[in-house]
Amino acid sequence: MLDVQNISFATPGGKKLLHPTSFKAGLGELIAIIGPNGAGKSTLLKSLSNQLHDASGDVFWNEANLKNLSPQEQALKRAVVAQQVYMTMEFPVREVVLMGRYPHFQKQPSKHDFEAVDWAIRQAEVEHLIDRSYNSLSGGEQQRVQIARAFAQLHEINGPGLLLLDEPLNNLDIKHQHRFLDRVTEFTKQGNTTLLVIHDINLAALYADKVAVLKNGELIAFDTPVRALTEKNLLTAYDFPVRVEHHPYHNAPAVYFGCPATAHEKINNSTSKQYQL
Amino acid sequence: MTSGKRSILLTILALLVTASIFVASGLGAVKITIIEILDILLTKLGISNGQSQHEAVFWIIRLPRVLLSAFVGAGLAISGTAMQGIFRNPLADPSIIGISSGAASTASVFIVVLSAILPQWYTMWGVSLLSIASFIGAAITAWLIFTISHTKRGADLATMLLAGIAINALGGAITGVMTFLADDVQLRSLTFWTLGSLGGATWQSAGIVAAITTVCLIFLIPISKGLNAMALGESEALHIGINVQSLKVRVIILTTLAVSATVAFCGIIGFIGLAVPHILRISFSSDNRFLLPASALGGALLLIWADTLSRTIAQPAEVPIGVITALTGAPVFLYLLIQQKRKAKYA
Repeated sequence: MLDVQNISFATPGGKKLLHPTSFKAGLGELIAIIGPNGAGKSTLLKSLSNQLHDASGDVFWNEANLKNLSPQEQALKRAVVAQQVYMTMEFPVREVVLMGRYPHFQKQPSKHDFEAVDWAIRQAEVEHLIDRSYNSLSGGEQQRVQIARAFAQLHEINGPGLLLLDEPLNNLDIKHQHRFLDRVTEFTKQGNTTLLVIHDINLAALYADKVAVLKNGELIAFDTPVRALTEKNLLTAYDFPVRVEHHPYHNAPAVYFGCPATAHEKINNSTSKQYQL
Repeated sequence: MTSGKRSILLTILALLVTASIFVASGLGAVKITIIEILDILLTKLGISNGQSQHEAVFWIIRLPRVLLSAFVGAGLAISGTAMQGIFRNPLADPSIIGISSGAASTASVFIVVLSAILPQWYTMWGVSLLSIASFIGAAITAWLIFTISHTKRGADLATMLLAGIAINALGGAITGVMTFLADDVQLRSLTFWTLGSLGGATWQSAGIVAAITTVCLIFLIPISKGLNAMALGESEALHIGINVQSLKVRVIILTTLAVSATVAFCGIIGFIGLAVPHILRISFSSDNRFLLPASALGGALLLIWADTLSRTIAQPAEVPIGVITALTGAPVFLYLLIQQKRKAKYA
């Protein structure tokens, strides 16, 4: 399981982007990280992927401190998909997906590597794109190719995999958002752990096992969607009128931002102190 | 690109290079036929007992020169490919980050100052000392650029490119001052250095450059996976297990070595490092598993023929090789810039 112990990060100028944060995530759990702009979501994800050299604290993955592993050893346990990956040279999609297998082979990919690539291409539903140049794809298609690359990377590794996704839904249409989250859920349920930064709170409520709510670099809630996505937490985080109901078709909270009169009254009547932690 | 197709293309390129070495060695003021060349080679091997009158021309002048141009071309082109990989920029080139210019300006100071202070030394040891001076110049420049752009998180590539531009300007100015101070004889020597020439080829220089280029090939070809990954971005490369920092250090050291060796013996030969990888990329593939070996072969091929052109086009005079490569390379560079701009517009 993932055990995050007191990780924090400050810019060289001393601005604290992430206050000491600790949490645990089990195998088979999908964790959604939500919060307003500048809350430290990406910073949290980057410190889990060892991208921030000045971050303090420790990240343990199955008892192993990630800090003590070489980039290759880390790559055999953890895959990361960034918000938008622009490639500087032209590469066909198949080669990009094969890059996920780079930590697995020395010089030439094995038959097993190609099988992993084919499997990942099917999983991410990008079969029709494999011969095209990556840079000629739309943003959403590139995103799906990147997730295929990550799936290929974590395919049949020795032990559970850790998948980190930074706003993977940004360029996807509604259908592909759900398809994508179904795939990620399926992958997670196979005994892996996934953390994803997401803006759509209702999607987080539907798919996540736990939700982490961030505000100003602090973790203000880390719990199941029902417990984490309360009106109080969301108002604190987003500072915007919000109402939480029960989802009519799913056993999950449904979050409505905006201005239904009752919600407004509720907020106007409440003292601001009540909502500050 | 499948590994089968890759092998076929590389074999074709290798055969073209081999054929070019023979054909180009035959061309020049004295024509030598392929049959004569084979006869000379067999005689050298002790198999045949030929009596070709052209043996001296071929063995002492032509062959070392053609071989030197092949290895210089290979070294420059593979350096360009590797640098473009770590800079994540198809415009990066050893001459752009200032290594070539650092070497050449050191050489120019050396020519003018040493020949003025110690003329006897200069006549005796000039060429070897000059080579060492340009080697030191290239190494200092590379170290300087690396130190300036080095941060706690690794080499900052934007700073590196900007530092390269500044060093190019500085190197140009130093060479300019030396040109101003130089007398007629020195001026000819300076022209050799700044425009490049393979005229000084000997078996010794060809051997040294061949050894250095081979070392670079041996250590650069295995990093093709890392260079491919760098196209995704530095952090993405790290996430798929590439040790980005050691990759950068390796490329910087090896390209400095290759470039300074070529500058030491042949002066500045621009655009090979830029044009060759780019032409191969648009014609075939960006996959560095193909691109690194292919650019070594392509660079050899291009420089063999550029040099043949330079020594035959205005016989018996020689057109500086830098002029020929710039004349063919500059349009490619401009085309590249226009293409990049067009792409950025639609991105």
